[in-house]
Amino acid sequence: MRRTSGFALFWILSICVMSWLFVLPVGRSEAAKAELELWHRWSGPHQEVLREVLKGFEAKQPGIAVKEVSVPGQYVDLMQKVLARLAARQNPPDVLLPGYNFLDYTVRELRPIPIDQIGGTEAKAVYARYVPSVLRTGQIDGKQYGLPYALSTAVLYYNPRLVEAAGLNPQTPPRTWAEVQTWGEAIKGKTGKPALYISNVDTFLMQSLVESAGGVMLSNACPAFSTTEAVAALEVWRRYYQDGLIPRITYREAEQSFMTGDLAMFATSIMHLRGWTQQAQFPLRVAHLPRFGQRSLKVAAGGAALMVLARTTERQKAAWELLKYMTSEEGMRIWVKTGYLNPLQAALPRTEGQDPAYDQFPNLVGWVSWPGSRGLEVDKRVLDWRDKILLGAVGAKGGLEAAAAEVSPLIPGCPR
Amino acid sequence: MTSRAWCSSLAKMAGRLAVERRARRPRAAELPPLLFIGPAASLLLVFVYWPLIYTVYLSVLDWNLISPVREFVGSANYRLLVFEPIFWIAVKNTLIYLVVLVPVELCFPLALALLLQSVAERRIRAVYQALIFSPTVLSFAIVCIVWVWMFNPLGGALSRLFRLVGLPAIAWLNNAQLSLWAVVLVSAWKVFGYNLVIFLAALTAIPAEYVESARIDGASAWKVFRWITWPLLGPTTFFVLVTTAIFTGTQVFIPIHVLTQGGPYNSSTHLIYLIYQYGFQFFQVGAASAASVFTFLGFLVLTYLQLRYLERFVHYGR
Repeated sequence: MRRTSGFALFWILSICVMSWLFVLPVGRSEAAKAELELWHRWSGPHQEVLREVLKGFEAKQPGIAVKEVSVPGQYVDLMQKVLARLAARQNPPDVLLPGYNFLDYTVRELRPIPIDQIGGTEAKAVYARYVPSVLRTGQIDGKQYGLPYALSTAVLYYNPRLVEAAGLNPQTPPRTWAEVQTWGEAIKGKTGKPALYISNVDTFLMQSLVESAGGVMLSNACPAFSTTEAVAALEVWRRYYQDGLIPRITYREAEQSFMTGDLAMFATSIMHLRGWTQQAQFPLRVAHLPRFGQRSLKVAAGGAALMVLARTTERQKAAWELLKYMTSEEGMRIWVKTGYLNPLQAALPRTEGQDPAYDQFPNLVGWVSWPGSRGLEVDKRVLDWRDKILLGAVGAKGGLEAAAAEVSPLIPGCPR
Repeated sequence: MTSRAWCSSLAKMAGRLAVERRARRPRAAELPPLLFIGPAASLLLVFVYWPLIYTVYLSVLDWNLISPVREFVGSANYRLLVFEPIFWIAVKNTLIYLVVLVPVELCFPLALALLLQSVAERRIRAVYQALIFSPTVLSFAIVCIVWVWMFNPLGGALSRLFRLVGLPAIAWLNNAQLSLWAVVLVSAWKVFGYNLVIFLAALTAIPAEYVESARIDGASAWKVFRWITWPLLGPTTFFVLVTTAIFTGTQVFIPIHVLTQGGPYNSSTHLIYLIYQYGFQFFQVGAASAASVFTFLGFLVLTYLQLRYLERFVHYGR
């Protein structure tokens, strides 16, 4: 009898312990009001600079501590982590820095607080800090949900040593994609090294190429990237692969190779300027993103906006103080050391190498943000079709048409 | 006793026990065993059977894990998968992983174990064992990152090796025809050492007298292997078969995620990775759950076939 009651007690205790694991809420207690949580995708040099910004904020606002959480990877990885946290019934981060390409999805699924609502009468003064065209990148349906923070455009990085070895002049980088072809053939022929890589981790360069060629990604909020102009842009990109100017490697492999001096030119975001300048085994040079002949350049505005997801008034007030500081001249002066561009009207120091990116400011277009709750899936499917085109599995025309037909039913209001 | 007869007698015994149990009331003396298995049974219920049932429930919903609204859609998620080309690519790739990895992880470790066993010096054998087993103890994610560098066709170790012997470098990870094989290669490399050690232990356990008497009778090395070693390795071979099959079903997510993310354009995807994509990249939980149900049924059939047809070739006795 004594043994039985002992076993029963053990069993009851086991059930109680397991119940405690499931019943108790997890996540941040609402009693911890002094600390804000800010989620972003940066690591390495960018994270160091961001920490410097937050230190400056905490010095000015000693009553508010900011815990920055890095989710290294692309903006899509950040979105997935946030959604996973919400799915686990935890509180969302107070402040989030989603990419402009997921703005629509963030507003729809995460329901950030509109800036007008948090900032009240102070919001207009903050808006006035911005270059008007840049401010619009944080709007959805005319409402300001985010304050543009990280801002980038695509540029062409190149290795002047490889360029010289190919008998070319590194002082006059290519201005058109046709000139890139010429440079590429010379570099490949004379040095044996791969000539070029165009970033393919997201739609950033794809959109810049398509719109520079005269096409569009969306029209009336529906996929419209299968036009003749878009096909022409993808054909140019595909031909670089076919001619062997772009090696068949992943982005990560390309980045490794560029840093070690085994790749001559790399078209990607200006955000890498600081990190790559430190890591490259050659003097890094930056040029404008090439255009298509005489057509004017259009570059997608990459980067992230500050959005407030905090659910209590007290946290929203603290978050607003943080947003005001981060988008102030003082905060932005520190932030632009990353290589990201200055979105404010105030003149701030430029990092060496940023000039081509600033020159492209008048050519900025909003980064395409797929509408609807299946935006993440649409993005992946479009990228898969783009990769099929580039690697030669399908033609550009057939591939873009198939991509548009496949994703159209996933976007509300678009043809099935 | 054959496995069929053994199963049949077990079933009869269980039936008899059930009848007897119904005929009498449980006594206090029988409570302790129930209390003993209670915690373990509760854990099984909570972490194995409840998720199984909940997955089937989720598979008939349209839900993104965070919305308060969960819409019942019946078999729509199953139909979506059946008509989704990526799903069939994942099924095909999963079968390829199984069909290729399992024999490779059976034959090569066994062959190397037989070779190692013939090394007389124990210390040298131990060194080889340690070297071959070392990939097993390394973190899979970290070694995959190293493999990304090794696969780099511009400056990676493999491409340098190829160029040394006059072969062109191969773009493994960004080639739709080769990305799958890159993942298979890394997976095989990871499991190889573990299976080798298992086989070595099993070979050591075979009584030396059997082999000696066969040799005295004039049996060749092949005959010794075919009639003595191989039958006595039966239980071990069956274990290696099952664990490798489980590995191809579950652990292969890591190399896919780190090396290729299922690409280029889903050419190296896998059922488990597809479930992850639908569930945690697209947040289409209904479709992910439906894919989970399909995967579960597939592996259930596989397990049945293994038990039904393969176990009969296993010799447990001496």
